[in-house]
Amino acid sequence: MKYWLSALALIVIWGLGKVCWENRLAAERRVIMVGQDLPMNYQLRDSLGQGFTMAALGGFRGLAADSLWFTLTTAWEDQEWERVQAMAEMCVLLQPRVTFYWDMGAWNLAWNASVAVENAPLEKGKIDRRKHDSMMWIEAGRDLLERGIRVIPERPILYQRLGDLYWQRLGEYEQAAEYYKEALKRPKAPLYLERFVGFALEKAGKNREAYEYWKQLWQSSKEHPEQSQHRWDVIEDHIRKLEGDMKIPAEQRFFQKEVR
Amino acid sequence: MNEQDFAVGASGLTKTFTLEWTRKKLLALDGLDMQVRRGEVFGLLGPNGSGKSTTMKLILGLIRPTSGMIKVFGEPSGSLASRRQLGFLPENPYFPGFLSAREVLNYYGKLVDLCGKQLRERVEELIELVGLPLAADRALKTYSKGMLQRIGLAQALLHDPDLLLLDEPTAGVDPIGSRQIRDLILALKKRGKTIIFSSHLLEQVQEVSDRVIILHRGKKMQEGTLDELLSVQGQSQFTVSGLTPELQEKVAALLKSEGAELVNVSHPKQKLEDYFIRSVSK
Amino acid sequence: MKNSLRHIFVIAGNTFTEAIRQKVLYVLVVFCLIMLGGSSFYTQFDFRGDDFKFMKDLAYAAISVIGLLVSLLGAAMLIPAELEKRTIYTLLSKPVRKFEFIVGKYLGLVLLLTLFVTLMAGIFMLAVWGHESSLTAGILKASQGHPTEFQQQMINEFRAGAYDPAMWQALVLIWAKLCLVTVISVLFSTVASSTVFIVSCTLFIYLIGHLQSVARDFWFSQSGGASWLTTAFLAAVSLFIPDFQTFNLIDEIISGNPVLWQNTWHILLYSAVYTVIALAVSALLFENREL
Repeated sequence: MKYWLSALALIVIWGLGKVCWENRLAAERRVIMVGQDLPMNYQLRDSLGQGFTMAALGGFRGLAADSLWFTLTTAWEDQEWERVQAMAEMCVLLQPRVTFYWDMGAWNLAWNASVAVENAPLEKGKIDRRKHDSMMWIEAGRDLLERGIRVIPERPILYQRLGDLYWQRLGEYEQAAEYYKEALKRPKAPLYLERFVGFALEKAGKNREAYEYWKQLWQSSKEHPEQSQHRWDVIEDHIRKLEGDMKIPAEQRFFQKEVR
Repeated sequence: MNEQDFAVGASGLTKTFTLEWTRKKLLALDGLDMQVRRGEVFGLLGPNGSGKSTTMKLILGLIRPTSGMIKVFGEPSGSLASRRQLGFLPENPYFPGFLSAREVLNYYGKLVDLCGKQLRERVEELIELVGLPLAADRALKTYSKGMLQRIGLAQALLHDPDLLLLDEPTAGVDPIGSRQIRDLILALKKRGKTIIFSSHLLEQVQEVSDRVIILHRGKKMQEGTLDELLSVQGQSQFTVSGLTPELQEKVAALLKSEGAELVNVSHPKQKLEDYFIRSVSK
Repeated sequence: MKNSLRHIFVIAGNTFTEAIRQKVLYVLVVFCLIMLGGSSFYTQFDFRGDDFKFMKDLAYAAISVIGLLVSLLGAAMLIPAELEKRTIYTLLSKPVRKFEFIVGKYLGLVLLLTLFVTLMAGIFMLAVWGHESSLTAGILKASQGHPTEFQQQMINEFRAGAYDPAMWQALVLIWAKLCLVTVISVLFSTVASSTVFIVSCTLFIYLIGHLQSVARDFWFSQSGGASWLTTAFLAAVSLFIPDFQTFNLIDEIISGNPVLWQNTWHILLYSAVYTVIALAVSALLFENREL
């Protein structure tokens, strides 16, 4: 009897301490899951931190998201875009911190779905809604990427994709340049994005800004730790071309002598 | 007599088990008093379920008495000090079947704090003693019951304990094995060891034990030396060769005239066990 | 003290030997290998370098599930067997304390789990390495050894995904979780002697343990509204059951979230303390048990 009592006492005393400890561990975990204190909508935070399903899935949330992704792939093959969208939403709900689901989900909507709708044959006697529908899918993709960025603000990939979306799907090149710039502020951003900014500005017709940007890039790149990887030739070509286009007098040109 | 002079001293030892679910009480041992002197071979007799194994477990400290007390060489039963001085052969011993005899003895040897050269020598010595040198490296699951019994004895002897507890040491063992075990008990007794063993085969008990206790339904029925318990008071027996019928009549008449009475005349018989062993060893 | 440690190690060694000679273990290992092999099935699809997430999801799930079976069955089979076959009588007739038996059994099983996780992790790493080198080789071949900037970026991403050093943290956490399940199994086997019963109880604790954080949050956040019965229930769950959700940092690691070793150490410390307490309780209960 005395053994039972001391065992019980030990469990209860430890239990009281352990509950506090577990609260601290949970707080630590929440910071990791949600990133540093982010402005996030409460619904998402709830489903992350305390959701019953999340908890019940135990260690198999990743596997659940994976199998949903396979369902998405079959939906994509069947061109059932509503299902693709629903599956992508489920995946990002299960694993909001995985960039892949935001990225590929948005790509399926803004590119695959919208192009498929655009190219669908027009049914006779119906109003042509194809342009409108296509736009709707693009906006759904953009929405997904924007939400993804709010959950994972520290990685470059989703900014890059949003830039791509503005460039390729909406033709808003100035916006694209802005997002490429945002991507570049994040660690491990691919270096070619530096040039994408310039291309996008030129495409937007902002020659003056593009010219300033290339010049600035030329100068900053010299101190860049990875300057050996730089396509100096591309930067130089663009500076010279823009100077020609803008008819900048010879004495004001960037390359006074024939360098390189 | 001092407490330490007894290998085992128990007084008023009582054990009740509570059955699961029904919560019924079962009286397994009822106020047992028992003193085993050092150097004695002591038999616990009784039918199945009479409390022999319960007594053994109480001596080992595997279970605690409901009331009464029990000491081993003056130490409370179950204490490390008491267990250092005793060796135990369980009923139908079973050992990790995936090990060989040598491995099992090494394993238990380490648990009685032998090590290194001392351990190796002791293990070889015991394998020799219980007569298993040929089978020492075979996995125990291939062993016969008698061989397991011998390994059981060997492991009980590892730390050369002063007290040996043997629970049904000859159960399921063939007559030759049984005789070997009996010889071993006698040899150990000669070396001054105390041996307590339980059995329901009375004949074997008779051959080796100095004193016995007879248990029935948890109660002590009898206690004493075999001479005390078994001699038929008031009768004598002589064995004669060359007894002719005429001579028998004369002896009967003589006895009658002296006031005695001839109760029974019969041929002495060999024990079947002896006969069997002699036949087999021929 | 020295003897105690020696006894514990001897019993642990014996338990380990006994465990690895159980056939059921090999069946489980084969299952696990099949599941690991299944991860290469995923790689038939093109996931743009995120292949490794899928491989990791499956591999970690395989190690967790099969490891769970190993740890559930380990204690639930081996400890009742000692009682049923009465080898424990022989053992405890020697100068061995009961807690040495319990701790020895536990450590033997931990040794088994360590071997299992290491083995499976090694095989998984080989699979990852194989996949990474075939992907990289494909790109290098297509570019005839001179990858463009874009291709080089892809190769870098593949490698970063494949050889993420946080992988070690995930494996250590899986191992720690399995060890905690084992100690609960040991705890139950000190009071019960039926394998099925012990496995069911442990599994129950394991499942409830994943919801414990929900109960705990409720318990802490409620303000007088709930009935005393609800409160008592929530308190009991919070106090008695470990929070297995803590270990789901594994999910975050696979998701690529920055998880520091410091976080991992914190969880390891928590499970270590939990284990010591659970072993102490087991020893007390076993001390009390009549054999």
